[in-house]
Amino acid sequence: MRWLAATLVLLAASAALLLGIFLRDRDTAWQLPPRATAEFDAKWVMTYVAGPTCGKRCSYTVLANPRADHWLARIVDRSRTTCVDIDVGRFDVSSAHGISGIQVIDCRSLPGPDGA
Amino acid sequence: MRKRWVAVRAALDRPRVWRVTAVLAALLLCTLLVGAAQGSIDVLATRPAGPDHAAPWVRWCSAGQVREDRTQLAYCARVDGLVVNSTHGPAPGESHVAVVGDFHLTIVRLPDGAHTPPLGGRLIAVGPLVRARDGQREVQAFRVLHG
Repeated sequence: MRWLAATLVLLAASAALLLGIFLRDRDTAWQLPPRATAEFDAKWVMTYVAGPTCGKRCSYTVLANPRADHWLARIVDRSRTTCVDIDVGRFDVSSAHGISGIQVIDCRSLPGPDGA
Repeated sequence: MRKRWVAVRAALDRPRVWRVTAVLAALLLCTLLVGAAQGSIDVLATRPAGPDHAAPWVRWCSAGQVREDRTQLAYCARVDGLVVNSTHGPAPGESHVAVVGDFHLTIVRLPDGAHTPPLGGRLIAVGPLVRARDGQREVQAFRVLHG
């Protein structure tokens, strides 16, 4: 049984080392300003909608913050405009599931050239 | 209850198996220690008064524009470590790598279009030290010296 105990102690030491390195310099209370987070997420959505090589033909604009954690953004891909409601609290990008935490909305409900 | 305890003890009573797992666990711990111990991170809190006493890498600290959407933690840093993860995007050519060195984990945002080093490869980068979105420290690499 002492070899089992040694295994457990060594595995626990490895896990503690990894956790220590991960948390050492991390500021767990850190959060980007909400608008900066929304801008970053809108950029991801633009890349997702228009493709990574879209370049200057595409743009994104974060327009409004109707409620907590939700930001409305307009994505322009050449002449095509897509409007989305980004939930910055749930927003995520993964190769398995694509983009989550966004909802496509009617551009006419937004302030600006496409809306009221 | 006592019977169950005896059965569990009997099932776990495999000294040869646990000896092998203990050796493997010791190897894992040694690998992690050696991997995390190599490399270094040098942080320069403020811009040096004159170039005479500064390390050669400091000249790259002013070779770019510090991004304004992040809190700057230090004027400049030089990180040297092993690449343990990499991500690409959202912009074309934009990539980030996670580097472990001197028991520190640091995110490095590579210059746009720069070659992304392979996992386990060595990276040395210089640039301002900012707070990344996830709370980790991030070096906005103005110059990649190795990798």
